[in-house]
Amino acid sequence: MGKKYIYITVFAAIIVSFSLSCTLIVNHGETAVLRNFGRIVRVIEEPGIYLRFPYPVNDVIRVGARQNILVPVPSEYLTADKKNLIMEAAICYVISDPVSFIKTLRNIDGLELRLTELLSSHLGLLLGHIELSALVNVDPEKIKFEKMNEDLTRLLSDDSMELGVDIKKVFVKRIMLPTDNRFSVFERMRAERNRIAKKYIAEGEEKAQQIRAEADSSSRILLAEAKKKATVIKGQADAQAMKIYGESYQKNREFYNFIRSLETYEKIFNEKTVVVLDEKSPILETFMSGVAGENKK
Amino acid sequence: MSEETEHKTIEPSDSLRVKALIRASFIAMGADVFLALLKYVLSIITGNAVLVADALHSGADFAVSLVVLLSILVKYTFQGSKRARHAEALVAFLISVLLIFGSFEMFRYVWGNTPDKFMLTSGIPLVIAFAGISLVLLITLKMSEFKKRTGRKYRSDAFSAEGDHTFSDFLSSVSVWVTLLLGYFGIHIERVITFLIGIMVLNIGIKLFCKSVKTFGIKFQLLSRIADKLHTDVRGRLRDIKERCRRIIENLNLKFLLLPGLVINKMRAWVFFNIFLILALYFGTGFYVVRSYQTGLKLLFGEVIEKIGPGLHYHLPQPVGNALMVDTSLIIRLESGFRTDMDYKGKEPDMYFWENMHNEGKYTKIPEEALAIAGDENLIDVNFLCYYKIADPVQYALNIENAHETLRNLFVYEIHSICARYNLDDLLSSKRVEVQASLLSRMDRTAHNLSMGVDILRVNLQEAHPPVEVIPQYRSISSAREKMDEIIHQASAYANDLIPRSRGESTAIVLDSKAYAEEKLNDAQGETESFMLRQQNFSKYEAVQKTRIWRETTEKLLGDKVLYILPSEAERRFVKNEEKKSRR
Repeated sequence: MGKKYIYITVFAAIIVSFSLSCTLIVNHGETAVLRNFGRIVRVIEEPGIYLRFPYPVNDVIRVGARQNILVPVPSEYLTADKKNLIMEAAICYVISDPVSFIKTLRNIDGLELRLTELLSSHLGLLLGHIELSALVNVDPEKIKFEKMNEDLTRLLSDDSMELGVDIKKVFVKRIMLPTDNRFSVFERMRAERNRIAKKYIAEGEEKAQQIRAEADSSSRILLAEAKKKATVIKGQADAQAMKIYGESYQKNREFYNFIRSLETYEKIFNEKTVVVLDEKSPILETFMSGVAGENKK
Repeated sequence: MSEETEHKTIEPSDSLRVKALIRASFIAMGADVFLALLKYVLSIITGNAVLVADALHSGADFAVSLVVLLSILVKYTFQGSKRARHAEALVAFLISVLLIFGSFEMFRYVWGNTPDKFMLTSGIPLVIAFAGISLVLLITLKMSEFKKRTGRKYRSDAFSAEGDHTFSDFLSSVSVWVTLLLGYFGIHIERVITFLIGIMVLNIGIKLFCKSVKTFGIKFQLLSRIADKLHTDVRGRLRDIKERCRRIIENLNLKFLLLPGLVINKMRAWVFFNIFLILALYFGTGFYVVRSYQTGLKLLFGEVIEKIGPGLHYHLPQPVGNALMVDTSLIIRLESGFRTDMDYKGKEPDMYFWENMHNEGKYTKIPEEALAIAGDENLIDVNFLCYYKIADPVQYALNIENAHETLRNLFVYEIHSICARYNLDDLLSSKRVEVQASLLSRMDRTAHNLSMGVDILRVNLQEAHPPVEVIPQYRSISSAREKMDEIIHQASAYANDLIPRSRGESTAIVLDSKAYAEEKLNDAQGETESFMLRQQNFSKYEAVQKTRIWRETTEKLLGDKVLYILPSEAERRFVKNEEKKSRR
């Protein structure tokens, strides 16, 4: 292998590297900013191949022209009604003016830091006037969440105009309670559930009481009706009996009186009864006066 | 290479020769360092274990050269002082341990589950690695020749041996070269080659280890014996393996593996062949396959020039052209609250409860996404799924940085803002369909507003349940319902028992009264009848009957009584006495 080939190889390598360093390929989705000794001379937005001087005459900064999303670390805020909330927001943005972007922020890290700072300050301010019930509510009329996001988008776009960044959308991705508050919410939920459980049991008791009372009352009514019926039947029977007695006794009152008075004596006399008779008592008439009495009689 | 031969050939008086040899070893070491670094860079470019192993091999060679140089220095500069010899042995020992460790690392790669270390894919990095290895081959061959020449010129057997050794290195690099070439066409022999190179490194490591231990041998007899055993047994076996491999290759007549070796004498032809090969491989990287569910975006100088349908296509190689495949007809899943491991092969849980739903098996829970605040300020655990399709591949893949993640963030946002509008119980049960529908329309609108280039097809509320911390209380509600039913049933049982009884009792009362009435009436009738009968007879014989009845009654009444008969005037006094008695 002669020296000729070494020369050829070296020459070819120089040609290739020179041609590579003199061209600039701009990809879809990025903007190239061409600088001439640090001075911005050209902004290339269209993808394609372009000529340039090799470094250090020209240097190229490639800035992403794609829509990007930034999700800063969630942070804690205080609402108007003094409730602590953790909010995680996201920002959709596009670098619309690479020159301003490079001049003001230099790189994407600077941009992200700046947007994060802007977001937390604006969100904190906005939340200072919003109550939790305006973020979370069963009544859609009272919710101002969308409005808050719109305000946030507007405020951030206003502030990032000079940064060469176009804010597409800012939104609070999720709202969460700090761990301490979360526990108290769990406690509340537990209490609520216990309350509902108790309510169910109490409703059961209520119904049970009602059923029992209804049963008791209908039982008593049944008995009362029966008693009423019984009393009437008995009364009717008594009346009937009375009538029967009356009709027959009315005809022979004298005999009845006689028989009845004798029956009365039978009923009031018992084995303890002591009878004191007058000597003139009609029972003793015969006994005391002998035949005379009989005659007398 | 071996120290013993070194001692014999180099005489202390011949200082010129020693200087030349030292210079030559410096050159050799420089080359080794360069090769090791080059291979290391290449291994980083491709991320492949074969190149790592080869880099380690070059490093080992460099270490051996260093030890050889040290031994020469020790011999002639420090006049063989004991301490210097020990220092040299220590260096050799440390290096040998490193090499043995490195070779075991290689074996670990080979046996272990490390597919990412053995994934050669045709692309620009592979072409660069191939070009690099070609350069390595050239340098190694040149070094081998240089070492042999030096050895012959200065009558140094060590250098001649070193030249032979370098030639074996050349062969190992050739195997890497072949591996890369085959890898380009999708034939993967990386593991085998890595294993072989690992054995070579292990061989060098053991050799150094034995040598260094032998120097210490006087003090550590046990170590020395181990070293001897290693030297004879293991190295012998390794040499066997090497020999067997070589024989297999020769028997298989795999001459093409030695192709670069065959053309050594025709160096120029080989170089041209290689350059041609590199160019061919470089232009070959332009072939690409668009699968049936994809759309290809063909780029020229970074600009999209064409949308390509499925099939085999060609673009100019990078950096001039490129192609990007976007899964346009695939339905893409967007998950919130959990992630699914599609390749999960492990065990699924027997049952999915609220506690482990979307949390076990192939699912992983993302608690910060899943936990949302409901409209009544309760917390809820929700897992949603969204299906979408890429409608505009250029917009989706090129105009938005990580569109899938952007969509996920938007999805999480929509979910949380929807959940904030419904109360917990509705989210858990009755309003699920409504939530799904409104989430779909909102998601569609947002994706459209941000021109994400996607069509939202469907939103699924996979599952909603209260947070794990309060699940027991939620379950207790259904127990409470049961309890409620139980209480009511008990009361009904009481009522069902009482009412028929009362009914029976009332019937009994009525019947009783009827019986009474019958009784009464019958009594009355009976009595009156007897009365009437008696009265009829009585009135017939009134005077007699009256006396008879009266007498009979009196007899009956007074028959068993105590009778006092008193004179008429005594009556009052008696009463008085009786009164006195009772007063007392």
